[in-house]
Amino acid sequence: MVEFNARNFRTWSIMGINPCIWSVAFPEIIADDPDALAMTADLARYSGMVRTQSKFPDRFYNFGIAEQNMVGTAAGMAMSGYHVFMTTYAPFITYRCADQIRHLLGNLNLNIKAIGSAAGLSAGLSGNALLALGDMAFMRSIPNMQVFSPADCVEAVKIMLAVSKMNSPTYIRFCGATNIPAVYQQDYDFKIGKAVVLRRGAKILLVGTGLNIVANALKAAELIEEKTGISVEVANFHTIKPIDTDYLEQIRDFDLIVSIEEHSVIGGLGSAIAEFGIKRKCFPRQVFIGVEDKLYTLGKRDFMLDQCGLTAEKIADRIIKEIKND
Amino acid sequence: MTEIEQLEIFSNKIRKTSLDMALSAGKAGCHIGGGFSCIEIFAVLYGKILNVDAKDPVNENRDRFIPSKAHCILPNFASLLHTGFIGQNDILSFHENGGLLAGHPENREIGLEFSGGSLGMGLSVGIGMSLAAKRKGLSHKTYVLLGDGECNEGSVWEAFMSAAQFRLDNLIVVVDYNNMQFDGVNYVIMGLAPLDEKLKAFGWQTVSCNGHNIGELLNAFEMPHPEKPLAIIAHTIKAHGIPSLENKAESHHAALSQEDYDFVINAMKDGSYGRI
Repeated sequence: MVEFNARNFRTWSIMGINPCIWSVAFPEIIADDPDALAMTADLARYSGMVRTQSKFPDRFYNFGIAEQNMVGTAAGMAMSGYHVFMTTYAPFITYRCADQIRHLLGNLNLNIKAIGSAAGLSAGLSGNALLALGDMAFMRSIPNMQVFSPADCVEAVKIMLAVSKMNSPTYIRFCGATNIPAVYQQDYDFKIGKAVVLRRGAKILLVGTGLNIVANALKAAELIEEKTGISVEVANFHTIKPIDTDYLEQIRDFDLIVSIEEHSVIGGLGSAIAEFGIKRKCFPRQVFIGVEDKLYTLGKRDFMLDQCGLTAEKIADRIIKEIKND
Repeated sequence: MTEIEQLEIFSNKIRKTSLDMALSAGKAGCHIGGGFSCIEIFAVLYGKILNVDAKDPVNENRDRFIPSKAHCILPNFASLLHTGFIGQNDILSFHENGGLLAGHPENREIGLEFSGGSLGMGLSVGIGMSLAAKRKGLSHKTYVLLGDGECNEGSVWEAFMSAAQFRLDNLIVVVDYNNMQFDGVNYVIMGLAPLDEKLKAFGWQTVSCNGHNIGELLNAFEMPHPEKPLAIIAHTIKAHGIPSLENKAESHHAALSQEDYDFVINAMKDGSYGRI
């Protein structure tokens, strides 16, 4: 039984995201569910599956570098009653097999969880081919699909356990691998589709999603308050779809909303919020911080995040400028 | 009456219903070419091979049939009619908005295991079902109908590779090899031959036959394939037996004329069907 306590939270943060998925969450899932299976496309070692695979070899399937066939096979097994968790790099579990995802997971509404690792800017040093910057935009557009993006390792475990109880196609994306700062020091109430307000404020609302990004948003909020004295709220949207409309209904009195994500500014969290807000008579102005619609100079994730203005300092600077322009 | 004669009668029933469906679609037309190339394949599957029962459509140990090529709804729905999965009223609504059978549906209750239409997905789905049967210790088999044009898709080859890797001796593929795809003859558009050699090299057991000959099809299904998946390469003719459409790329999606309808009906009556 996974224990959600401060000690584990520290351990998981040090372990990194992949072992949290496959060595913490997945063994818990298969202990409860004889029909849960894992699949990968020649990425067992990178994904941190090997330890659990060696303990439960009959729960794992490797398809080689053939993502379309992996998704199709997952569909056949889901139609036969199995609960498949399949993973590879985020660009390949989404774009490479987009048609299979659209039809088999979306149209046929099959109980398959797609887990995209190294999403966003994670693989910047490996090149543009390895970046997944519109994966949430694509997955969000698929009927029936739920889309998740955890803020830290604890939340990743919570998402895995929560979606394992749901009979629904699901996409979980996470950026980065190690050096994941903990957003949560203590246990908290996780609910699918319910944003977590990490910091209360009145004037500016930072809405963030993703590993490191939500942590950076929290730091940025402190910087903004220090420099300007303006009160800043921070909300973590771990669920991108279904978006938390209850929370969004309550935010009309903020002066400014800032969406912050390691994803294209087209189609991700920012868009999901704007799609909601534009239908309201009264909704705050929104600033989109994310990856702009262009190609960047390539490098490690930190370097990429800095270029895209996704570090705490750059988020704070950008927002302070935006307020001055108001 | 021999088994072959019985299945020939059954194939005529499927053909007659397919003709009725095609005629009812009117000028809008339907997928005639790829439908009439696999009438006998459907007759053998639903008349002999498949262990499926309309009274128990979701039995866990039923055989699974995945019509991956999808452009075979005429014989597919006709087969479901003549095995009691659907009714006569359903069958003629296949081209109507909101009809039970509109748009390549998936509906296990009426014997439709998979919603096709986007080519190159069905074999992988069949592999998943075969793997699931192995996990559960079920004895049923999974049958997948591929088009030869469909085999242009790379995902089909990913699937061919993995079926052999997983030693799926409970998986049988039938390739409706009618030598045609949407834009024309397949060796002009994208050659596939020698498919049997390719599949052997991929680790499959293969057998080739005349896909319009019931006896040859029955023999092909008997081919032993221990530790391996089986591929039956059924050589067929697009729009088989329909005078103005046979072996023409335009038959892929076409309207059926009253003259062609009458011709095929008469040919079935006098036993000359298939000898245009």
